[in-house]
Amino acid sequence: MTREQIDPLELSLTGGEPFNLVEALARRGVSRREFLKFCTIMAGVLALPVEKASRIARALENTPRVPLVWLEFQDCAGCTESLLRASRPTVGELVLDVLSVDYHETIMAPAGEQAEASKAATVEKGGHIVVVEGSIPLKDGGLYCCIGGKTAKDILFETVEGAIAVIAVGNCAAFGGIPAASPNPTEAVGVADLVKDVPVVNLPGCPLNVVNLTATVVHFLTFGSLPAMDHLKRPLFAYGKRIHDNCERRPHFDAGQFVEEWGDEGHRLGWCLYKMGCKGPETYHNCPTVRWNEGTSWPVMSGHGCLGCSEPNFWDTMTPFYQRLPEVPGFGVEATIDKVGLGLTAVAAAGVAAHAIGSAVRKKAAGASQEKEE
Amino acid sequence: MLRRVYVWEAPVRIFHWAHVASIAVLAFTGYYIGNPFITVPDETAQTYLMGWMRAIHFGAAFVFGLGFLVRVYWMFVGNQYASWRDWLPVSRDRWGFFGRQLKYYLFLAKERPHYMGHNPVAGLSYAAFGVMVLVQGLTGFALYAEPYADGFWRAAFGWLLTLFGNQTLRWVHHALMWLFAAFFVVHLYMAILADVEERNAAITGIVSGVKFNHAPDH
Ligand code: HEM
Ligand code: SF4
Repeated sequence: MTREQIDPLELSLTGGEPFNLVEALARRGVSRREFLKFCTIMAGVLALPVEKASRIARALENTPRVPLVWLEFQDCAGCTESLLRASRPTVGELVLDVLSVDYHETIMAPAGEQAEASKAATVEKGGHIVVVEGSIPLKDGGLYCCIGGKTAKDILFETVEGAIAVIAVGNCAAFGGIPAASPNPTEAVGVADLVKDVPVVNLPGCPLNVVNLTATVVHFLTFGSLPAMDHLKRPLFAYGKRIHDNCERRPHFDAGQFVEEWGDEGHRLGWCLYKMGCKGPETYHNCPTVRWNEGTSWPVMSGHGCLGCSEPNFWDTMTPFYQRLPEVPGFGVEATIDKVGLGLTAVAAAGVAAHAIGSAVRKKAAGASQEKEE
Repeated sequence: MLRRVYVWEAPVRIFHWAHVASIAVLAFTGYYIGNPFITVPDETAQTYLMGWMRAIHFGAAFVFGLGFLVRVYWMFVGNQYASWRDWLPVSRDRWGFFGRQLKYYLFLAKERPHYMGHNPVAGLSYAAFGVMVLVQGLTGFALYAEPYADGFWRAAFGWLLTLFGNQTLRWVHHALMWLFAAFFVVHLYMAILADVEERNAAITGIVSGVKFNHAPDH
């Protein structure tokens, strides 16, 4: 597996303007104590030693403002929803907000030409970060997703011009996601399939876990570099470990204690969801450790198997979601591999039995004709 | 004249029985991994059934894999019966015998041809078996590499995960278990049939290495 570490020198924070984050946060009612707590959490998410929290705090206090442009293409706005999910805006969101977000179609106040103008101004200055949510259709010249008369592809290329990095959030922007599921009617692709000369970071998930976006931005602001990534351009701090290896139900897996049916005794006892189709054994994500909704819970904790939403083509390759393995193609709906396999073995046994009878008959006949000859 | 011929050298026989044992263990533990049909209701801390099944599966997998590598090596250094030429009917001579043997099996010919090593039809079935072992080994070791984000196993087999994805590999790995089962049924029958019809010690041969030759000297 290649571990890409983007050279910090290539990523100088040229485009930003100096400003005081702590003051900006204080104006929004975030105390210094809360800010430091946030820095500690970020150190944890990034799998850094706690001492690094103070380095993060220092860096964020002195960082220039990096403009961030958030584009939405073929998406459901679920990742945006994930960004805005909290009943009370968290420090993390505020950091993202005051640090950067210049353009975000769903949540920005300006509209129409005014909005486009503010984006154009940011892009012209360069040194910005582009966040992309949703896949990009290529079929028929890309006309399946147009905004303001331009195709998603054109908007993407226009916006990444002069950008420091592109962060593809959610499975759609990272790998094509649900729009790209078979038969992929719009020939949807992810950002990294198109953008080659600006570093791309993939933060898949359906939706994205906003903690990982915040941590990626914080890592960038603190160290001036993008985090180390895997072969799918996913940061290792968030996608370096398997769900199955960090899952709180894992002892039940090893013990041989499985939920057989929703709501059965094993389900109530918190046993492993493997037989209910959990895809934790093939999915890399930090859900078990950072969880969702401010660390409240995550799917497996709430009793539902993992769907593998941070893996490429999960809609095609992780289905059926509620079964261990896909069915046998061409053998009808209920044809599990074991039924077909057992059938095959039975056919082999029957064939062998028939052949044995045939051989016995042949031997007898041969014996008889031999006797006749003698 | 009945001659005793040393056909199966030790590495071939060891490979054979190592594969019989390991495949039996792999099929049982593998079936459990795919469909854990026993649930242990006891105290979680005291039980480790799936853990053991997986550990035994992996242990047997190494016997299975190493055995196969030894067998492939022996194809090139062993005697004529161990050669890959005994698996693939590529020589014109063997190809001719292949037709005769097949006709005999299909009750289209009366005379059973005689061979010392594998008959050409059986030989081809072992070539197919070799492909099954290769696919099962590759899919198995790819699944084995899955927990490792990098390192040896990921470097050696991770490309399969990237190429095919976990579900496909698991599906193929699971489906092949049944092909091995079907192969076992047919293989066992064919060996017994050869032993009975040729009286050539096909069965004891794979233990002692010696088969009988009834053919007149020519
Ligand atoms: C004849 C040989 C073999 C048979 C019959 C066999 C059978 C199986 C079966 C039926 C499964 C369950 C698949 C599923 O439904 O998910 C399995 C899983 C597995 N097998 Fe094999 N297998 C064989 C050889 C191997 C080899 C050579 C390896 C190499 C290490 C291997 C490694 C694995 C692994 C890693 C798993 C998944 C375990 C897990 O997810 O916990 N197998 N095997
Ligand atoms: S619930 Fe899923 S991720 Fe957790 S141990 Fe079971 S199979 Fe693995």
